Amino acid sequence: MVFIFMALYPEAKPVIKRLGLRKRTDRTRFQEFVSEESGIVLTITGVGPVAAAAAVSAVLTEYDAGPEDQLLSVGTAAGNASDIFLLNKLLDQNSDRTFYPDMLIKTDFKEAAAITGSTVLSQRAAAFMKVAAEGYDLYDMESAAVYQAGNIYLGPHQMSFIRVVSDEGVETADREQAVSDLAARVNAVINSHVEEISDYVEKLLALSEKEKYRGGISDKSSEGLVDKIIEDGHFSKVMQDQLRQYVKYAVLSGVDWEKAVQGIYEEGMLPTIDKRGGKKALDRIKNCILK
Amino acid sequence: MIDGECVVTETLAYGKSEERQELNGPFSHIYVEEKVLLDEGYRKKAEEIISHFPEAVVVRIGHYKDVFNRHKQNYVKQHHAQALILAVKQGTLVYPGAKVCQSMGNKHFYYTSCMMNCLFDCEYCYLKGMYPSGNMVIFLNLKDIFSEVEALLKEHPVYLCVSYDSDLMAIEKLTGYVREWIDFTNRHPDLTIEVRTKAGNIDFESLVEGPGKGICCRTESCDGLKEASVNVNASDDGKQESPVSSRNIFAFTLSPEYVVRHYEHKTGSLEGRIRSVKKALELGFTVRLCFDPMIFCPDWRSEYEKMMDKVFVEIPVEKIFDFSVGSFRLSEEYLKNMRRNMPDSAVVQYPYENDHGVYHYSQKLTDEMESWMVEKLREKVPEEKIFRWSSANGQG
Repeated sequence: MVFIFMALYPEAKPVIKRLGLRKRTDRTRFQEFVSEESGIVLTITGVGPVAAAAAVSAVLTEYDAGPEDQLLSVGTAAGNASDIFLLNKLLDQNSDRTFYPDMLIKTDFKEAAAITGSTVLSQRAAAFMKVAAEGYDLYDMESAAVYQAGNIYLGPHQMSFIRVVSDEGVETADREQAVSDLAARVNAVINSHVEEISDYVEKLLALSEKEKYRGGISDKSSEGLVDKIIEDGHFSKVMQDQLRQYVKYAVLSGVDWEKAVQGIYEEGMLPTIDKRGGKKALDRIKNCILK
Repeated sequence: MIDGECVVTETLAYGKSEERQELNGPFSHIYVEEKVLLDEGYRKKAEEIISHFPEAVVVRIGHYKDVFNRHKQNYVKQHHAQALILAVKQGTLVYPGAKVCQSMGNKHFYYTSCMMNCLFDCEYCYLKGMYPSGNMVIFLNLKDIFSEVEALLKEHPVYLCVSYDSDLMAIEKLTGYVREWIDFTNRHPDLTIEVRTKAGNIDFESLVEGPGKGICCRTESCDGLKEASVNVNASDDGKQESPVSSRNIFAFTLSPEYVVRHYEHKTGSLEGRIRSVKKALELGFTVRLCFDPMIFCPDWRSEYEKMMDKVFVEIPVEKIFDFSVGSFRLSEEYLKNMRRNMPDSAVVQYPYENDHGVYHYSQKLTDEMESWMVEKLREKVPEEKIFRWSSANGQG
């Protein structure tokens, strides 16, 4: 599964359209757009670090996010160069803590470091930032928060942050108006990079698929027979764990353990009447696999 | 050629699988501590290392642990697109040897880590369970480590493993650390170092060339590897001259081709390692052969037999300083981490037995494998040169 988080609907609209996502009508707290076939969930978080963290936590809990999942935070940011960036360093302005997502995926994106703050960046603050925040290229309002909330569920190798520069800071006399103005602009800004974003999502989907396969490669195909042996041999919990480990190793190292088990059944060693008989059968399976 | 050579750029080109093609190559990202940037010496060394990777993205960081110790990292995923961290190490720099490591009969056994993690990718490596991250850290304050070793040398002779939590030879072209260690050892008669490696086709000449090289003359062998450190031109005692100190021990881990191919990714081939052993002996380095860890594989006897046949034909084993033998063993905690991150690795998922928190093969298999190897070695070398790891005392 790839979880995409974006702050505003106007930002997300081009991405939703490009990825062919449909709105989930059974969700009211956060707007969710999904594609069950491809395994994408796009959530509109609302603006700011608190809203972003709340949405990330709610969605990743709901879908029980795990090792095969990927998180992608997409949004706009204030900066000097109008371009699309992959973030390699996120500074939480409030806590002064810095976070580093793993940069594993090969892309053509330029990279940047971003500061996440709680308020819309004023032009005055932007001018100050140029002098005071050496080494940081962008200012946004979600990325460090998304990282922190996401990291409760996922590792740094499962989180990516894309930002498109939309402005160089805005006047903040009327915050509502400023956000409203930005909303109108961000649609066009994201739309101009929607293909690159979509390509990145494809890469995340491929990674997610591979991880799913990797996690299930060793014992999924054998589950039915394993369950039967456990039942027929009256295995204790410890014996069950041992059998699973033997089978996992056998599958990975190409040992035909099922044939050996078939022989054990033919000899009448399984099923047994009690755990003691099961233990003998387990030892026999072990010897067949590890010989 | 992909043979785990010390040519770092060639080794870094490894990775043909589809997944690896979608991921960044090793060292596409280099994280540099602020301390490094603030000190002229460290900065110069960092720039030298970074210059090998003109395409790399350099990210400034506060402390290496900000990247290395992050929450919920995946060693295996990171190792596929390994990042490099350049840092200055603080606190204790030299540690007493661990119980699970062979002291090879040395009383004052220490180890140090001027690097964390390895360019090579052995599936069974304990680093995958020990470290939270698959990224590599190079500490640039080697001089501080030297100072700590010098303090220890004032108290007693020191036997120091310098390549434990890494393989220094794998990136010697980047750091030049092995050469620096050799120079340092040559200047300190009570110091013996061990450089353990799985690299093949090592360019040993480059380790002894140049003005910093120590020229030593071997006076005796085995017991403490004592020799007089003298200038080769001034030497007139008639003994065979060697361009290097015999207190520099190169310990080569040798594994059958099956194990190299399946589990020791990016390392030197058996052939390459054997070539390196021969070259090291030619140049007068002390060489240790480590058949440790022995790894179980289908038909392990025949695989190890093939390897030993090659070893006995190619290497003049009478010139080998000593031999270490041991089978795979790993702490419970490390194996647990590795099993979680490597569900598709046969060597990690092998049903090892847990004995007081240490996983190993069954006692029967352990005895079979290790005794087989010891017997094989006894055919050609004296028993006192063979060190077999024993769980009873944690050393050979």
